Amino acid sequence: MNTFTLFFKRECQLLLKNSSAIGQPLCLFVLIALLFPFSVPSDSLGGNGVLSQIGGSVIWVAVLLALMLSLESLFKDDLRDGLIEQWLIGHRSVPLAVFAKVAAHWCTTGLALVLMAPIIAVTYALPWDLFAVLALSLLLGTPSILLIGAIGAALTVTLERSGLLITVVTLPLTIPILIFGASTLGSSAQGFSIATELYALAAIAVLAITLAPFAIAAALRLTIE
Amino acid sequence: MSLGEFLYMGGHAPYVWTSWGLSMLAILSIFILAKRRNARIRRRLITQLQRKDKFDV
Amino acid sequence: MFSILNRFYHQLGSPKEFYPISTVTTPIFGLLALALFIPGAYLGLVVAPADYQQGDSYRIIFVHVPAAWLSLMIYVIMAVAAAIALIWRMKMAFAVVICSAPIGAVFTALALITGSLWAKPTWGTWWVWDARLTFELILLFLYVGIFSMYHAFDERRIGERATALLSIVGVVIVPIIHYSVEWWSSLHQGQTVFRDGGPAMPPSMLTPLLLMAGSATFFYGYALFLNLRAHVLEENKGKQWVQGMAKKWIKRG
Repeated sequence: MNTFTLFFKRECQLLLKNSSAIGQPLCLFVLIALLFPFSVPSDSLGGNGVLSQIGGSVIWVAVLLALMLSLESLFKDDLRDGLIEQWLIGHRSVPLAVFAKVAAHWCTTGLALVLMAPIIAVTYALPWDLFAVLALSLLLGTPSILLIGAIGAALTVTLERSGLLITVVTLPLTIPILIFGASTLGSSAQGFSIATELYALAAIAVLAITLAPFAIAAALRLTIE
Repeated sequence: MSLGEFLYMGGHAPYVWTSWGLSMLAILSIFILAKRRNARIRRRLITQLQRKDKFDV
Repeated sequence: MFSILNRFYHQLGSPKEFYPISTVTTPIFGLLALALFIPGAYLGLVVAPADYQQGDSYRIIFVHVPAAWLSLMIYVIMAVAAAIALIWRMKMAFAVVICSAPIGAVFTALALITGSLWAKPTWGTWWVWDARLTFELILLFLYVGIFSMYHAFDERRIGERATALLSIVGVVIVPIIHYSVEWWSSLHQGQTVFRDGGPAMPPSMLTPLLLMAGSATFFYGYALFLNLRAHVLEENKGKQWVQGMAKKWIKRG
């Protein structure tokens, strides 16, 4: 079986078996996203209020944070089981293997968040025509977020409780994704074309897909003796 | 320009002097902290060596 | 030619060779920094005429721009040193990465704060979320992240390697900051010095600016070398050559 399929399948099985692996990021996302309606004054209900204006951005931020914090467990279990060392001395391509792991992570956790986002968007009274924009921007942006975050996860894999450090370290690098992603909603609401932002998100995704796996593999090699 | 004009900076004195003041403070702090770090490590090396000499007798 | 490079590589790469060289070069950097600062500050604060539009507040440029240039330059040096460190396993290169991070962070913060103090009288607002300011802020977070990462590791060797890789990954932000004023229509002033066709600034302004920038660069070298010396001593305290030096310090009193 080729490397990608092997690692992808295994990772998906592990993630789906352990319900908290997807459940926790999802819950975190919902909790963060629902904090704002509680804190924003109640005369902003309805289509023109503050909530519907910031809804897209809040959802983007919540997705970003939930994904960042979900990455802590990406390599921890494999490290504990001694698997990472085996990969590093084995004959299979490590960049491809880690790419498969992150891909599996995206297909489960990432997609779950992208599917949950429109449901939360309803509570923000987001205009209906922006739902497709939201979903598209998230679809293009979340793979890059996971890939960049995985670099942080690989660098800190030997540390205890690295969740916050991963966030501190890789969040700055994901801010451009956040900027482009969230601005698709603002531009779209004003009737402007969102082609630039989408191209930028796609370009970042392409760069991330081609380069990040090598950085992740290098990080694993450097931090594990 | 006169000293008065110099300090007054055309009405923008608080901005200009705070900027320059903070910059000088930052430079000075970097300098002092580096010097103290060096002094600290030297002191530590010396005391460790002196302690070792005591035992080696 | 090759033998010179070889000697250079061995001398600067090894902490033991570096230390005596730095004893001589460090004060030189410090003196050069001071020597450029005095005329730079005098020309900038006293001699240069007030700006037609901004009045005297523009004099902040002479600390703001050097701080900003340095914030970018230090990161590039860090990233290059990180690459050298990882490829050639050079201890001094790792040391440059780790010792530069706090200095870079200070200059970045200074650029942001002085920029803000300049923005208020000029644009009427302390902060605006335009491209260049936003990315400079991200750069500050990167420096802090690098700093945090290094200190999170108990084992220094792994910590310095992880920090080096992180610096390289983050270097993509630097060109974005530099070109951000071209790519996005920005409130921040466009390129006035580093542009095709040469600087668009009168000599009365350009000269103190370049002097202050030169002074800041030498100050970075000075601060870096001071910290490298301390770092080298801390990391090599068990070694013969350090112990030998400590004995000499005791003898000298």
